[in-house]
Amino acid sequence: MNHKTILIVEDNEMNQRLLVRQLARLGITDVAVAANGIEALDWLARHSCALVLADCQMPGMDGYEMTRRIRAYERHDGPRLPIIALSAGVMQGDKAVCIEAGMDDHVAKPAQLEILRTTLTAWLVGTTLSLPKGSQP
Amino acid sequence: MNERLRPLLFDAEVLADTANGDSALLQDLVEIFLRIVPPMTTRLRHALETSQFAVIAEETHGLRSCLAMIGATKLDTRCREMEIAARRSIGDTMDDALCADIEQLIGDVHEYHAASLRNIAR
Repeated sequence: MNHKTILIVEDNEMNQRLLVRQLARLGITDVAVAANGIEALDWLARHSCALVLADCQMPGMDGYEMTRRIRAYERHDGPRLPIIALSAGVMQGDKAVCIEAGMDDHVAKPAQLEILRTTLTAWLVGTTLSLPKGSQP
Repeated sequence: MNERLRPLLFDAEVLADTANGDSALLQDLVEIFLRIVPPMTTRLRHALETSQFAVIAEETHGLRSCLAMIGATKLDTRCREMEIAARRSIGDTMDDALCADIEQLIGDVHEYHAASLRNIAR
């Protein structure tokens, strides 16, 4: 199992707890958590990670703005970081807004373990994630 | 209606599905819910009283995650409608009963949590 850090950007403590536990069940224990886009950018300035799971609506700086800033930085330096939106969107076109902001994919909240596994497998190239026994849908 | 006969305002099966059979996670989620949802509801009530649409949108959005996770589907839908209205600054569609109903839900989750702890102790 290839352990690369995944950054969770999520302000809701229930979602944070759920995601950390779900990632652990998929064999990913190298996880960092930021409560909003500002904290995430600060963390990314000092660390690297394999993928970002980001809520869209957060106080301080939302996931859209955080993604725009990451993509602006990547135009000058660095490889493209996969950013997966976590959204309980309410407005029509929320998914399109995620893509326009530069996010790569979208997972509805609360995330289901199998959907999380499928999505992460698609974006974590070279990584095989497996559900623990008894967790198959 | 007799309080004991009233159906719970959330679906414990949805909560169990969210936790995916992980009883420790389920307990954690319930405890976090009981810690963070009451102050969110208080902030929403104040924002409704003062017509602060940005705060109403923020709090209803935050509540929706918590409500969806425990299967409080009807309250999640009401929060969703209020979030949409608040983002459009439409004040005359605010749901005045929402906070009281969320407080009733909090009571239900407290009961559920207490019963779970009693079962663990047996």
